Amino acid sequence: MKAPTVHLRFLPAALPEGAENLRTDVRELLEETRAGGIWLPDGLSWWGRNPALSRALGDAGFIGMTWPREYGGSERSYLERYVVTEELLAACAPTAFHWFADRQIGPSILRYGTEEQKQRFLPPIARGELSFAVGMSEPDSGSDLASIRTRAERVDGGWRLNGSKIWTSYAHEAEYCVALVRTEPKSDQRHAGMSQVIIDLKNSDGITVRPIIDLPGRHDFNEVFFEDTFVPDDCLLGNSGDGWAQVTSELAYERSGPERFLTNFHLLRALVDVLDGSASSAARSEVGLLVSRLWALRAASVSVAAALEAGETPNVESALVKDLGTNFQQEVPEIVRRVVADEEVSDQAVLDILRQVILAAPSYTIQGGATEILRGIVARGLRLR
Amino acid sequence: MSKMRQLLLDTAVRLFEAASADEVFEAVEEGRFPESHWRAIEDNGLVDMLLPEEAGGAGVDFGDAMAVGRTAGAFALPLPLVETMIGRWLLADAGLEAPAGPLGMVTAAGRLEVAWPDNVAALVVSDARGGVGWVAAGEVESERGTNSAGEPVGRLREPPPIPPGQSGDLSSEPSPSTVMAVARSAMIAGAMERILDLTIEHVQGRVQFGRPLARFQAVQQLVAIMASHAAVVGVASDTAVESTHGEGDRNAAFAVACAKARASEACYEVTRIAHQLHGAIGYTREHDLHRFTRRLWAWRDADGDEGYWQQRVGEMALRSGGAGLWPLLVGARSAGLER
Repeated sequence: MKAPTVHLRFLPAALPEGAENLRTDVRELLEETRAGGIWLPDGLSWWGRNPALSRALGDAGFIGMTWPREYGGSERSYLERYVVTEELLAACAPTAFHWFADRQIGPSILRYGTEEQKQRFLPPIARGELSFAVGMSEPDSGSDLASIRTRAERVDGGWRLNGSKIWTSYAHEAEYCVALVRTEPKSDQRHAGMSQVIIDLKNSDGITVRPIIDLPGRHDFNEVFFEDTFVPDDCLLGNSGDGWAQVTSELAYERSGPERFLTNFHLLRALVDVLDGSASSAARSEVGLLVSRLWALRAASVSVAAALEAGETPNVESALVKDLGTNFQQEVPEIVRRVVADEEVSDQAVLDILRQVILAAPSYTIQGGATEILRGIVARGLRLR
Repeated sequence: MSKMRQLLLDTAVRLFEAASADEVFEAVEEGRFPESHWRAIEDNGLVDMLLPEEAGGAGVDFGDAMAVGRTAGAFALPLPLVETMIGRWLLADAGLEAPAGPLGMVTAAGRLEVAWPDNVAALVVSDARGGVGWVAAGEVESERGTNSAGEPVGRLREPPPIPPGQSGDLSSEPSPSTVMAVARSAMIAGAMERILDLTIEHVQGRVQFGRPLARFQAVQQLVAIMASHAAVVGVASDTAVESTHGEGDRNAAFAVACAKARASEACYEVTRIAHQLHGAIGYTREHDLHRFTRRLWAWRDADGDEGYWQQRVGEMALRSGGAGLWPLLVGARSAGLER
């Protein structure tokens, strides 16, 4: 028997020097803005949209942290950004205004955009002034993203868009949407003929936004219809036909981040707040179960972040962290529910958060790559398919 | 990987490969201690690798030693190497000379059970004050039995008293129970790595309904779940090892408690899926799988099971309070935690 083959790479990683100072800076900013009435944790996690808080974070240099200075960034490392992100999540700060632009759109523009696009979009994103939505899924294309049908036809000076996008969070409020569309008809090569376009949601004709109310009762989702919507040439992102490669190249960043296991950290914190030394041994065990799983997930996520920082593309490892992280998040309210019953917790704040988290929980394992898709990616990484 | 670690692991793999021959495991099942393999491991300096060079050791760092522990797990090593290596290290730290031969460890965590009670020279025992001592194995009474792995064990009623002059104080944290728990986590991680490897090999090679099992989505999903648990246990154990030394997170007691809780807990899913996918052949002693799954069932209980460590983590979390919970998780110094 030889030494076992290493199938997945998860090296233990430490956060960089200075990370602690960065934590303090974020915590101070959050405390000040909270005291100033700019934001309140609302029980539904970081998913809230708060332009004023995003501007304050932008002013402090916490958006687009890894981007070059000439585009409004602060040339920090990916691990430093990780620290800021996890602090925002742990504090339950509403960051959806800048979230998509900071996490995936900005990096895509930086990587694939023209010089003009970088100058036009990145600085206002980094200042927390410009909000983007992401247009990927369509009514007939959920997990099977390559089956999208929204098409962009070549016209004089640009493209004419027809079709629709769905589950487009905050399309009713964001200024722009980056959408994956078909610029060539479907062919045998499933992943060919797609492109990314930047759509001006506020100033284009032929756009209808239909609200979709989600399970917790919020208006976050939309269905966005395009009817002969004109997209000028300078709003094609990257090369025509490279859309699939472009969207999938950012997946490792999207999937392994702390938002995949900290979304309902505020529930755990609220529970720990109301339990004290008199908590039963069973309650201590349940808290210990959740905290130990969370600690281990974070160790895995930091490991992936360090691999990204080192220039690797840990797509399989990222899919794995998202799978475990989102399943953990789904278990949190169920376990808290047991503890709340056993310990006869009557604190209204805890019960309110619990009720809202239970309603949000089904989304965790669907958005950003459903569980079954992620496990398929892991299986491929293990050479099973 | 450092040159030192690579060198150590090459030696370890060579010795462990020899010690995992079929006849060795057969002897173990019959309660016979694999004496010659133990001697080879001693002769190669593995039991003293943690001791400083001036004390006759190799002076390797704890991370390197735990990489060897993980490799021992990956070979289901049926010998008390990790216990002996740590026992000798702790005794040396307390200014005591360790008795020659294999050792058993008795710490504050988990059940009072020692492997190979008739073959170890002595038991190394941690006391309530954080000190450590030893007592000759022949002076300790225990009830004999076997663990899930088929290795002989002695079950103690209470921690054995230490004869005068055979105990001393340790120079620093972490405590013996923390050190043993992180070592056991590393062994569990190694065994899980092997089980994943065996399972992948099996589902790729086994053909049913005209195609390899690996082609079935239901099978792929199960392997992915197993791989997730194995990977998280691996990185959690490595991260906890780092927390006990070096520059990283210094809150080792918390990190190790989390890592062992997670490692022990994951043994259920990993063994369940491994056996499900191996089918009937995995439920026999003819296939190698049982060497590893049976050790996971023994090791998840050794040095504190998940219930024990979840209690410790829960206590630390509740003591930190809601506001201190996040700083506890990220190991921040601003938390004002006890160090």
